[in-house]
Parts: sequence; structure tokens; C-alpha cells
Amino acid sequence: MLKFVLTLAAVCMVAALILAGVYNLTSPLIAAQKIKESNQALSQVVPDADTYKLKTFSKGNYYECYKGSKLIGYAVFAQGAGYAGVIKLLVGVDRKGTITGVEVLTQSETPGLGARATEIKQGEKAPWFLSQFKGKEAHSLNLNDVETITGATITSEAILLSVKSYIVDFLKEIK
Amino acid sequence: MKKLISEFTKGINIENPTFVLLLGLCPTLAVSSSVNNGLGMGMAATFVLLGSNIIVSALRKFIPSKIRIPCYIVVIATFVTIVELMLKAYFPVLDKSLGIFVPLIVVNCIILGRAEAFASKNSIARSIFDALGMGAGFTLALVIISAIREFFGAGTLMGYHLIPGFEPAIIMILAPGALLTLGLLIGFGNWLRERG
Repeated sequence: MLKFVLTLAAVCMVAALILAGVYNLTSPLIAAQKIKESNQALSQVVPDADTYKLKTFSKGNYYECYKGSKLIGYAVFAQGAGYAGVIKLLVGVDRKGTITGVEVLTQSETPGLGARATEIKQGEKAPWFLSQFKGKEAHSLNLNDVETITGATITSEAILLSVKSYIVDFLKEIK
Repeated sequence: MKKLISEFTKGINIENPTFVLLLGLCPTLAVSSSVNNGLGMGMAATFVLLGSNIIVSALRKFIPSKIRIPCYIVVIATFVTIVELMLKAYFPVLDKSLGIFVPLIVVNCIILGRAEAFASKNSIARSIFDALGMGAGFTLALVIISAIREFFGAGTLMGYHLIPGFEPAIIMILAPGALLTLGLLIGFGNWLRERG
């Protein structure tokens, strides 16, 4: 009996040591990756900005985006229920309320249908569905303004509605 | 040496984990929606299989048979966690698209199955070849299924559009397409074997 306990304990101990080593090795890389991802998203949604300040409002977090010392826009974290889970977005908006870009941060939509929200067509740089939001007024945004994803009405609506509701509330609050 | 090679090839043909042993079908069905995912999953599972087979085989005289399953699970879970951390650190894109299926390699029955049925009874060298063969067979099966599904379901292969104007059948990339493709391929394999 004691032999069983000792054997299992020894196996677990070795496993724990190895995992601690791998974790120490990879955790700085994983953290750097996360920062890189969020920086990439930020520069997509507010293209001209060079410094960002994290702030909070009633529905979540947002970044104030500065070019030099001039405030040129905001990047707002938005989220909504998609078809297969929560879709998290980063939405860029300028000071007048015009959307400057939308990026999907996390989603778990159906591959080939809802997940096409992040699909990039050949020869293009940005996902076609998301780039349709660029230049639209947040207040007047509605479903007729964008070409929805075939077979993924719920995903398309979820993205559009969360962009709209978050940005409208956000603009109201900062005024 | 000949014996070692046959340990390797049996995983690809006569004991193919997916088409013949019908093990690990859950990840097979779930991640075979694109070739990149299939290949990534296959390689991740092969790495775990190789690691766990080596360790289980090396410890086969040390681990009492009454507590072998918890020991195997700890060994497998350790390798899966290593793979998961490595993917997150070095291949974040693949990590995102494989999602929940990487941690689920822990319960992939191919891996525990090979530990129990093969590595715990055979030498390290044979276990290595068994793991490589089974891994290759699993990866090959995933690539075949996902190539068919990606081509018919999305009109692409490894993300590249092949035929302009081809309208893909979305069902192929959804769950029914996975079951149809796997079923037809297993049937085709059985037909080939019966013909001899």
C-alpha cells in the first residue's frame, strides 16, 4: 500500500517539477504574445495613434488614443453573445463618433460560417466583414448598412449590435 | 530492425487508429474542418503519444499495475500541458484555432490506449516506433479527412482558393460533413481490405 502511495507521489512530483520549468520558460513569451496581440488590434482600430491610456467606463474598459499629445480617438472593448459563445471586440471610434475600425479579439463561432467574420479574402489585408464598419456613424448603424455573412445572421447581428450599443453608450458618457 | 519497422507501419495501415481501431474519433470529427487544424492536431497528439509511450515504457517495471492508470494519466497530462504552453508561446495562431482540443488530448483514447496496450508491455525502442506509427496514422487520417472537408466545404486547401467560382457546400465543414466523410472513408477502407 505504502509503495503505491510513494510511487504515485514520486511520479506527480517529477511531473510538477518539469511543468514548473516549462511554465517558467514559456510564461514571459506568452505574456509578450498577449501584449503584441492587443497592440496589433489597437493599431488596427485607431491607425494613427501612438500612445494609449487605459480608462474605464460603466460598461467596461477603453483606451484613449493620442497622436503626440492630441487626443484623436478611442478604442472601446465591446462584447456580445454570438451563436456559439461570447464575441469580444475592440472598436475604434474618433471624437465625432465615426467608427475607425473593428477587430475581433476572441470568438468561438462555427468554422466556415460565423467564424468567417474574421475571414480575410485573398489579396486583401483586413477581414471584409469588419472593414465594412469603417467610416460609419455609430448612432445610425443598422443591419442594412453592412453585407451580412451568408448563413451566419446571428453572428453578423451580434457584432453589429454590440458595436452599436457599446459605442452609443460610450459616446453619451464621455460627453 | 524489420520488427521495428513493422511496429511503425502497422499504425498507418492495418492498425490505423482512426480508420481501423476507431480511437480518438471525437477530436478527429471536431478539428478536421481545415488541413492546417488537422495537421496541427495530428502533430500535437503525436508528440504527446511519443513522450508518454517513452516514459510509460521506461517506467513499466517501476509502476505497480494497480496504480498504473493514474500514473499514465499524470504522464500524459504533463506532456499535454507542455504542448499547450509551447503552442501558446510559439504558435499562437494554431493555438487559437485548435482551442479546447489541445487540453482534450489528455483524454484522447489513442494515447491512453497505446500506453496500456503497448508501451507498458514493450521495450522503449518498440514503443517509440509504435508511437511514431500511430501518430503518423492519426495525422494522415486527419489530413485526408480535413482535406476533403476543407475542399468541398470551403473551396480551399490549406487556406488557398483552388477553383475560382466554385460554390462550397457548407454542410461539409459542419458536424454532418465530418461524420459523412469519416463514414465513407472507413467504408472505402473496409471495401479495399475485403477485396484483398
